[in-house]
Amino acid sequence: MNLAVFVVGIVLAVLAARPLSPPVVRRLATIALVALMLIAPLISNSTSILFDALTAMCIAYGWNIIGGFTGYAAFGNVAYLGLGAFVAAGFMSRQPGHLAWPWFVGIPLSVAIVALVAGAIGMVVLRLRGHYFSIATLGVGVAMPQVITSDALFGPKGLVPNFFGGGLPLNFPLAEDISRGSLTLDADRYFFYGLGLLSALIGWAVTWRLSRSKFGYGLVAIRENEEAAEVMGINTTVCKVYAYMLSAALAALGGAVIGYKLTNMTTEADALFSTTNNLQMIIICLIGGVGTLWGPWIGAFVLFGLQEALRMASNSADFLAWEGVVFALLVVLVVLFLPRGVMLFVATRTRLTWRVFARNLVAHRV
Amino acid sequence: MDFVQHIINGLLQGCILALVGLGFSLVWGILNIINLAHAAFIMLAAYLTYFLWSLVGIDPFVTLPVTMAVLFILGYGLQRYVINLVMGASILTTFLLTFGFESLLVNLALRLFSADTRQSRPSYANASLNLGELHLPYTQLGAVVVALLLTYLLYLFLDHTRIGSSIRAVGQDRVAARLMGIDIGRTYALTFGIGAALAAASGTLLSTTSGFAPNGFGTFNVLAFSVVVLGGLGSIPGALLGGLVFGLVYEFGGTYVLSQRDVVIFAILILVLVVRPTGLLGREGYR
Amino acid sequence: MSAVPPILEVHQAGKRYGGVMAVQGVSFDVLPGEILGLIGPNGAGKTTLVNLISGVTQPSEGTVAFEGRPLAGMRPHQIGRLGIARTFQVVRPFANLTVLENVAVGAMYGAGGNKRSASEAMRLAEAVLEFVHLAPRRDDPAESLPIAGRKRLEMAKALAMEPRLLLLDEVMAGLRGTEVDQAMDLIRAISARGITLLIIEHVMKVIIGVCNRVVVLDYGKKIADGTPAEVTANPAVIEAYLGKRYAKAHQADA
Repeated sequence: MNLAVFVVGIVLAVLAARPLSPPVVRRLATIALVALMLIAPLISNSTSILFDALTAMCIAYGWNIIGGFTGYAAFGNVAYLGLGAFVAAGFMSRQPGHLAWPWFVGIPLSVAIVALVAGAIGMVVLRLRGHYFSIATLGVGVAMPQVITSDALFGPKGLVPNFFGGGLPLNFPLAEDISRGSLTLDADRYFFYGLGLLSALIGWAVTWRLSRSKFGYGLVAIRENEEAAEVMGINTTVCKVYAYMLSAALAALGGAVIGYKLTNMTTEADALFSTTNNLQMIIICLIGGVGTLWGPWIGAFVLFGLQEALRMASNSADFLAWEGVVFALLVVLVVLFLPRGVMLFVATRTRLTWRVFARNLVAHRV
Repeated sequence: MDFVQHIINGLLQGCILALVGLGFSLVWGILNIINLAHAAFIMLAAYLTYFLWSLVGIDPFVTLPVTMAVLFILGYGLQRYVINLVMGASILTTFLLTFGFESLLVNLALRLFSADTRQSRPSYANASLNLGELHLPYTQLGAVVVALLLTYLLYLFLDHTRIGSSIRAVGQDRVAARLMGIDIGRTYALTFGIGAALAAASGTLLSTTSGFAPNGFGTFNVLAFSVVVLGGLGSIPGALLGGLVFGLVYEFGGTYVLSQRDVVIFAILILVLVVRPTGLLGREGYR
Repeated sequence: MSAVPPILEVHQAGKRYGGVMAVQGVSFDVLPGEILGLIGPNGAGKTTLVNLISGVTQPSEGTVAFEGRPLAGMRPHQIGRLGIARTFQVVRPFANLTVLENVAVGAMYGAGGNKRSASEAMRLAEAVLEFVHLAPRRDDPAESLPIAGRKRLEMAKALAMEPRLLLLDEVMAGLRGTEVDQAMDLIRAISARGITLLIIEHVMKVIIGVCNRVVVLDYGKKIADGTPAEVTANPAVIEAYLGKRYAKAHQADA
């Protein structure tokens, strides 16, 4: 059933993204897509993979802003994903020393704080370009989990004592199933799925707004030629930092929602800050189409749809064991053969032939 | 005395880190790509060394030429038949591609070799040269000798052989080199192969000096980058200097400052990038 | 000289790269409404001078002032918003944007950008494309334009910024005969809109055809300043362009 949701979702997203189709079709497809996502928990046997796809999409929308629109190949957004989860947990945890704030306060606050942190880091790393920027951001991704577990900052005698648990494990409060009389609403199926969908829609809406704003055009101009953009009156420094903050904010939003569902931050830290998470947001954009409104949506649905199909076709224990290998292989194949992603076929009149896949290689070989 | 021991430990470790940075620096300087599979190459060599030692009983230092040759072939093939195809594409492409290879190799290693920690421990593993209160483990000393020797050999190779000068020519100006009749694709593959072989050497040495598991190698990419940035891109002495500095940082950072070494490395990296982007000994071209 | 204050004052401007002075002690004024030509042999420092004015590089010495306001320490985007637009000798289109979007970026962020929404900027961009005769290509990607089209696009992007001073860096280079004539017409039309122009040009026909006044640079120093006729008769200029011997022969002829 989830596979069907993914397939129909891809079709609708492609229809909505197609610049060649009439505006009314595009609008209807968008509405139908949202409707599909709203009824999905009613028809799906488990919304778990849909949740994964939607939160990953939100994070990918974030990467798309800095990596796609602005053209700065950031490789450390996983830092903000994880930080978002930890900060939200710090606010929401009901353990002693924490604030036990509700999610609708804790998560937005966490997103804002992460954006500010990213702003400070961005002011330094965005002075770098090319390889230097990429590796510096990669370093941010490597360093962040260590900063969070650092005794000097967050230990019992640290700057913000025990905010991230210190010696104790850091937990989100358990989200309870909602019971009204005989009706029970399962937390995973409805509450977390709803949060996931909300985060994805926020990611989409921010990008939609961006793609038609002056700010968005400024970012694209920076991507295409930074010096020319600067001369044309664009304050490139400020634009880049804002883009980076926005990018980190969406990563934090997705991360906080993922963390909330995982609950125990201390045991899940490695999973949050994983290389897979770091690569996933980029590869989603690549599969769908970097720097486009619908790219992350299509990319996330293709990636997780593929995952679901493989899981169904194989023994699931086997699949879990090989998941990392399959994912890495997919990264290599997409980069080599389809760097413009599905959007190549959606936005242009390119027909799907074998030659299309070789085109990237012919164009860029030495 | 404790302090002197720390300095010595740092310098010994630093020579190996210099070797880690050297291959990375060569590939970056000549091909202008950041090879994020570098750490995975180190890992492969470490496993190869470990299995040759534990299953066949070959001494790790004897294995050295074998791992270097195997990784040279792997690197050469990878560059020649895969990476060369996208050399003209954006930074994102080569970055992601090599990152994909890294992830692929690490995940394969996790599947095939499990996440257990291993170490090649020849009979002399615990023995050390004792000078008064100072202890210099033989494996560390051997590693330092090999690292310095390979660094010197690379310098001789680049400066005094025809292939070496064609590699440097390609690094300086690709178009001019092509006009001079140099086969760019082959030279790239050769350079990448040498980079992989140097990574292999460091992997073999590291497998004797410390325990390792597939997941632990990721930091070597950022570390190699930091070594190169600190020392300066395109400089062999720079890589050596960068390695020694980070060896000391590792030793003292881990002992006195923070348990979080990577944060220290990262802070230094950012500082250097912002204050002096050409590094301490950086210059145009490669020497 | 005249009662009108100059729109741009360059005073003793110099730029050092390493040990070399690319530009040294150059002073000149640009008066409102004029078309000033900036000429000189290759490597004379013309582009460096444009970089100094547009803030792409900071002068090592001297000052540049626009409408009486010193530009020292200003970033290029601030200068762009102040009302100085420039083109690049090697054109820099936003390759993956359409022609219209390229121009619209200028309208969004240039001197008049603050008061304009994205859709208003698109409308202004359409008008500018009409003006430079690129309207038929408005929805094509910028990278699909031929060289003459790209030069026009470069000018359109700068014009959409609604500058009061426009710096054109070799917009004729690479153009064929009729294309040069069209570009000259365009420069006159821009001037007729009240925009002051400073143009770097190698094609003498253009300098003589459109400029009111010419400043000549050689080895980073100003060697002449006057009407096109005065400058082309100036022995120092002829020497700079054609060498000493030719200059002597030329004088002997005269």
